[in-house]
Amino acid sequence: MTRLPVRWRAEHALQAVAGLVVAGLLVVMFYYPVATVLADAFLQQGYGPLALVLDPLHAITTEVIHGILASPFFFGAAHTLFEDPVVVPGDVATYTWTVLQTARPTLVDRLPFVVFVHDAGHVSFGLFGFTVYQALLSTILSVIIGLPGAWVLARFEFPGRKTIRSLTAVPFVMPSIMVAVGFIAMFGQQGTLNDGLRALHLPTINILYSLEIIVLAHAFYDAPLVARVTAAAWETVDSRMVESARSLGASDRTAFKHVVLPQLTPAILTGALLTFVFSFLSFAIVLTLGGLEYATVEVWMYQSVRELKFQQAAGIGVLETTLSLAVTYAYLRYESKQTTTRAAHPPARKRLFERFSLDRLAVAGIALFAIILFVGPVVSMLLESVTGPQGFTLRNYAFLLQRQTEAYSFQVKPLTAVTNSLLFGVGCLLLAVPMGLLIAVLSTRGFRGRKVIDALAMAPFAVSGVVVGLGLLRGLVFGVTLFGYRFTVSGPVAIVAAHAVGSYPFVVRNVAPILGSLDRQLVEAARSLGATRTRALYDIELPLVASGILAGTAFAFALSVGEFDSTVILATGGQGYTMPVAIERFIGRRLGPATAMGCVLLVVTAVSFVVIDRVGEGFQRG
Amino acid sequence: MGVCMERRRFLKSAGLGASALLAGCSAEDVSETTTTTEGSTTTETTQGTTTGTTEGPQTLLVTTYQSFVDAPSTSPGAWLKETFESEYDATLEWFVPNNQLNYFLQRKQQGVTIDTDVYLGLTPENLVHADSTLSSGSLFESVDTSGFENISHLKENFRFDPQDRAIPFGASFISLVINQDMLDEQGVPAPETFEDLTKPEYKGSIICPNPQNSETGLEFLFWTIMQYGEDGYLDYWKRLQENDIRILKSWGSAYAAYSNGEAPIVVSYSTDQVFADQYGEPLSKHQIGFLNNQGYQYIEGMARFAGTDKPDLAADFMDFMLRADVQSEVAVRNVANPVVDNAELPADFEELTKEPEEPVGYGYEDLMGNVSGWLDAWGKQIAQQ
Repeated sequence: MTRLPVRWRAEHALQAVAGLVVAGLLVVMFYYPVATVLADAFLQQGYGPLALVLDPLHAITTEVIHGILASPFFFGAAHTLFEDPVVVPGDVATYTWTVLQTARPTLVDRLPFVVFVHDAGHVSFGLFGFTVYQALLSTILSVIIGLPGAWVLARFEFPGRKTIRSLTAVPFVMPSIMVAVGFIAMFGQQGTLNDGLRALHLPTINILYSLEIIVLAHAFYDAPLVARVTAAAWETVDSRMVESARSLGASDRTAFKHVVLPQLTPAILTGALLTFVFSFLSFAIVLTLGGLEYATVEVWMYQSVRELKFQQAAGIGVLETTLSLAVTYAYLRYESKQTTTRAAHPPARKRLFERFSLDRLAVAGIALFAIILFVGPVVSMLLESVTGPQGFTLRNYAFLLQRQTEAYSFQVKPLTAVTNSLLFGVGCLLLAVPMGLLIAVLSTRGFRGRKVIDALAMAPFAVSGVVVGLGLLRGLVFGVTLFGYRFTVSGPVAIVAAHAVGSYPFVVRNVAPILGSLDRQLVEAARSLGATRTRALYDIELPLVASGILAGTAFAFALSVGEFDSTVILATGGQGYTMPVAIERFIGRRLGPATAMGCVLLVVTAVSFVVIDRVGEGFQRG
Repeated sequence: MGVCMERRRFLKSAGLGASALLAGCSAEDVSETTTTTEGSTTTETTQGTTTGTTEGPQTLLVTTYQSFVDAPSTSPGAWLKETFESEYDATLEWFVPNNQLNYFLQRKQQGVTIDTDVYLGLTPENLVHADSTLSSGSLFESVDTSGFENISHLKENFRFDPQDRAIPFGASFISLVINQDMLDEQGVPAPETFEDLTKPEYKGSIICPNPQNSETGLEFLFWTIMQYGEDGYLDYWKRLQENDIRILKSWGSAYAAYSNGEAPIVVSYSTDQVFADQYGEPLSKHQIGFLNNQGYQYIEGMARFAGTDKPDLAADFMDFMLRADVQSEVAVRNVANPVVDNAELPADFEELTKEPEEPVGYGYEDLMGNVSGWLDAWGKQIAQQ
């Protein structure tokens, strides 16, 4: 017992050091670069970021932000709130005015009405309003599609269940151009779905270039994420509680509503939150499957950066980030109020292939839907890669082989892209998983302002990829001048660090909710018996959060492999190209070469996910 | 981590000199031995330190766009490198940063050295963008072309820079590419005028790459401004919108949707049939449509970076690029038109690259001070929610 305090101190010191390393990495790879970009939103023209501290009175301006807030283009009807806070916005005013003119004609000419009513024209969403709207629709659809998937994955046993669970991360790595190719081939006018409908003499559907297809494509990316996160929580539902509820006379439905659902809600909302944030910042999918009429805020961010209008870009970036972080913060406040406890006593799975029952029929329906939405576009893309003007062809794969053997040093080689992607992915995991775990553990400690720290830890998801990319270019690739020397950071190690910083929030968000709801008594019991904090973490908590870690790991890997913006910037002039970069390079008059590379990406990542899950489960058992 | 210390070119305190530079690079060495995945960190040395130590051929660093060196079909990059190196005592290195021109403009804005010698693939609007972005000085410098071997054969109408910083080296035409088979099925002829595109028979039939994001789309937008004027183009685009024109992310996504039969008409290039012929696709699916018998001239220029330490070699390269034999070879490999009148092209190539009766295009002065405003007003009209 006398040696214990020393070990405890060493342990705390270790945690502190690890915390500092993580904080340093976040500052160099994220906060500093992003700050250099966003600072422009508050700076008068001609002032540098340092002036914010040295000469704030002259340097700081709110005009940029206010200009965006008060612009009908960005904020629609709501812009009057910022332009002139005391007047009623647009249509609401006009409408009231018309009604009153008929009902109380004498009233409208009197003073308060003349002052307060604003003639902004029609009520419109504005870019921000529309972006929030489409993100909400995408979130709702992703949850609606994801939940039945989680139910099947968590409650049934069937051959290939684990493989399917592993493959839920696959859509995440698909570059937008590949999803677009797959979606056009599946849902387009000449697509597989319409061919099928025509064969059945049913009316065809035409949903390309609409809000519906954008929302559907977002669900393609995010519904599997919702399913995976929720299934992970479902697997740690304490079945003993369900059993006791049943033994007390509760029906299946009541037991689900009062025992299971409360334990799932945090996970469902985690999935919903991530979906909202990703869809809110969506850019490529919107422009490829919808068109510029459906532009999101991020489209204007990208456009501003392209024109090097940094003040406007920074202003948009600040508002985007504020909104994403506010939603995240609201969620975290909710999460911390949850008091469910969980343990590794999941209820037994039902075998899927047995006699007919209603829930098995439902599973069949869900499977059919999943085949259309998820398998359809992927298989269509595979077919596209082996189809030429004269039918079946392997020339696209021959092209990849030829590039592998004959490419010049300044050209992209497919195999190098594959190995780079895998190396960066594995390197990213080695950093992101411990980072995520550390922050998850720290965030479940009770201290004031914890949720603010928590929300900030989510910032890599909340900040636009364009802003991060620009910051990395300015802050790291161009470098910083100190003492007459220019310090620059680029190359593979920087790419790995950037990927880790970009993906560790996945680990945090998958682990923290489970960790937060762990049965505290278990840990305390272990520690009162002499186990150190680390020992308790390893023996008690880790096995319980394993499914969360695994889900977080898979998606962190997926994010690394699919990452494009930071990778191309940090690999500038180098050989650090990855599979998505290769796909981009192979886009030409024909889709074939790029889709063939897309299929390579699919196969490589699918195998990786299965391997990650199998290895992870090995850890879980051992 | 790939940290590298690089001495600033304009650093005056030479006393720090070589030993400190060495210390910086040795620090890099240390990090390289500790991390095994070290790769692409490059150490640019200063002019002063290279002149004393350089032996053998000089290296010319040329920046260009991706498909010029690494297209899935054909690209002239490799041939140019080999031929140039075989004729000159120099090494040619390609450098392809992702953000192209903006990469260099941002370096200049941040006070970082450019370290590159020649820019290949500069359009008039690129040059306008560069000049209006930088408040002082230019990214490029004028080149005296009077000594160039083939300069007398350069077609004068291709020159677009009044200061002769950018010299044209390649051209093509923006046009419609039409899937006539699809139109035949609908019993509709190919559109011939801008007005045709607003007619009900072409509702939902046209795909255009987003001008904000694509040079092709941007020049198509310019073309409509030439037709309808600054005061009329937004109204014309309103009618196009009402006719369900699709404005998609990039040339790549627009052409992909067109190839998949989502629409019979796409805004692209008049060289399209060369590719169709290569892949054995029927030419009926790749008809070229010149609206109002015009084609918008897409001109690519080359320019020497201001402050390059190899001005003569850079000029030699530009001279080389205009030679008749190089012009025809680059044209065929880049699937574009030459800019000199004495370049010979294979007959079938010439047959497949269509030219309009009336080439049109804005010059530097037309565009200066206008592009950003035109694009902004247009974008806000299209994306109005």
